[in-house]
Amino acid sequence: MTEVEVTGGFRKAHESQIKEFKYTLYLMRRSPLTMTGLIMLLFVVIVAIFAPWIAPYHPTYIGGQQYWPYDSSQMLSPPSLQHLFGTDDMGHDLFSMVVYGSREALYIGFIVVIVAMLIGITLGAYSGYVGGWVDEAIMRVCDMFFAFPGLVLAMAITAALGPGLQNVMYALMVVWWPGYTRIIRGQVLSVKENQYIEAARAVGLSRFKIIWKHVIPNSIPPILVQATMDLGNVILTAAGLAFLGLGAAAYTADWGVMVSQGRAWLLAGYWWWSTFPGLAIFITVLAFNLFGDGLRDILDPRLRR
Amino acid sequence: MSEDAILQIYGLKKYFPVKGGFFGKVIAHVKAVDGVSLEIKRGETLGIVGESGCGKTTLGRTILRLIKADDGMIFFNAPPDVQDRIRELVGRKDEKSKRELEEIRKKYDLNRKNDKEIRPYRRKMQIVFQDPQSSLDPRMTVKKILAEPLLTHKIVPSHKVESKIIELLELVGLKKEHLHRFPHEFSGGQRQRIGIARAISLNPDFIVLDEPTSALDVSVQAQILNLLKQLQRDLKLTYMFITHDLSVARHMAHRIGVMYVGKLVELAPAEDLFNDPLHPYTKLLLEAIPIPDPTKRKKERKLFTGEVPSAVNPPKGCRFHPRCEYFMAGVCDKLEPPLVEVKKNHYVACHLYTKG
Repeated sequence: MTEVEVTGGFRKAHESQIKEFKYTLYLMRRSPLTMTGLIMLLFVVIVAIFAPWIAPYHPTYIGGQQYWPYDSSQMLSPPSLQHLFGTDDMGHDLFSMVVYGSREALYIGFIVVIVAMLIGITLGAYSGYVGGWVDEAIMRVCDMFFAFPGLVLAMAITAALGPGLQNVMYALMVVWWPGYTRIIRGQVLSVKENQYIEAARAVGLSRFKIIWKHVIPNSIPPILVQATMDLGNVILTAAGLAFLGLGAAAYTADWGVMVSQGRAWLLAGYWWWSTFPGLAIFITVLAFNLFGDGLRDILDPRLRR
Repeated sequence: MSEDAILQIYGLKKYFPVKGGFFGKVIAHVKAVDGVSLEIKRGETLGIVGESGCGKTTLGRTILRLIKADDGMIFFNAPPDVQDRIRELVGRKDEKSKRELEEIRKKYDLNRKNDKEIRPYRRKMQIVFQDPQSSLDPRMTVKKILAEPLLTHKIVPSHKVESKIIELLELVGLKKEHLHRFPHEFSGGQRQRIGIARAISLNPDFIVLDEPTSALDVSVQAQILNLLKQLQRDLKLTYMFITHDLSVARHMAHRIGVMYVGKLVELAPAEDLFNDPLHPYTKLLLEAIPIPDPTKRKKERKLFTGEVPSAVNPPKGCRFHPRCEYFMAGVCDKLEPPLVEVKKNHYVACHLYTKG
């Protein structure tokens, strides 16, 4: 049949997509800062994935609580070949904890951003496309959230729910979705004026299908940039909450908790306890920001055709 | 007349609210389409011409129910006997006729259907847009764009969609190699062909062509116009051709309607309109067509005076009276001229022809 001839395999059928993708890669390669961000990001992700193989010590879990092996004879020892990042006041190996901490940081970042994005995209798309009182209601709720400082709100929610990783994540989702809703809504308002939306209506597509097949895919690019940057911001805020004692329990592999605990010892000369988890936060957040910034340029429609 | 009309429109109105002030109250209305009545016969091309902003595009969208009309009736594909009955009933004022018309409207009037009920009609009436750049989703390949209508209305079983799309592409002069390309990889003319393929994919009876060539180069325009003519012959289509280009309208249309500030001012067979324009506005409009031969140019050309009035606050009486050289004080600025048949099939809305 002619159909087989035309389809001619995956490469042929997706020729245009492949071309698009190659062009994206080309744009990315041209920007050194984006590449720096990407390489740092890959580094953090690889560390997170291979943490059990990289770290020399491993936690045990008892009743959902993380316990690290400790060596009382090695309390507060400075960085050495045996303990690359030194040890804390119980003799935990800080290098292992920082390595494992990357898993938690990325986990929080991705889950919070994905959930906030899903909520934001759905509400924002309906708000912008449907308009009227739906729009009004959703936007006023968003305004309420914007009128309140995000960190304070997250603190209040976490404090109300009780400290802990799960509750920090819930709090951050609640704080983060209005941002996405507003970006998507603004984007939808401009996308829905395009004639292909009208064409879809003329063809007889339902509103549900128009929103999910035409409006949302065309409104996504700016939110991708925001999401990448937010991955860093969420990790930073989560670390901030942990620093304030609202996150994970003490002596767990959480960067914020580690910085918080080491802070008291910092001036006493035990600089390594806070410094290394702090550097880890710094590198991760910087990586996401650099990459997000580069993504903005790459996805810029003026640079594309 | 009892010819088979695919579309009958009576008193169609679309007012867009103008919001203003501190609380966004509606302070005025743009009367984009203000009481248009016309019929389109099966198989013909009805040209709608007029200046920008005269409501011709809005008229097309309102007929397709892409915009909901504020008032008026749109009968599409009514059976011939019902069509005749509608024509009889429309003008009547007595209660019994009104009730009968109401019954017919419940069944056939598109303006009475909600969004769900209108969907089956979408198959039969389609639109080709002016700007082929913006009328195709930039994130979809040609295959996806054309598969969408086919799958929505289940025109062909899903395993035959691809061959149907190739058939459509060939019908509009594209190749099957184009199947997996994105819209930005095509030229303007090719994009418009994709737009046309999408419109005919549902085997419609009626297509609104909303300035399909005004965004294209002149050389490409001719190709697209000829393609449209050929498709009309082969697929027995009825067109409503909206354009501001009178020579294009003459080339394409069997009959032409002239719109001015939301109203139909003249409606006549194409040749009739060009040879013997009746409405002063149409006359001036035809004067304004550039003649490509300098030796045939007249020394003195009549030109439009004044500005197109705003559709928010159109002039009382005849909307053209402030610019009209035959202006009759006390008549034109007081009474709105009705659209009447002055010659056979030649309708005009002007007091010059209503007195006698």
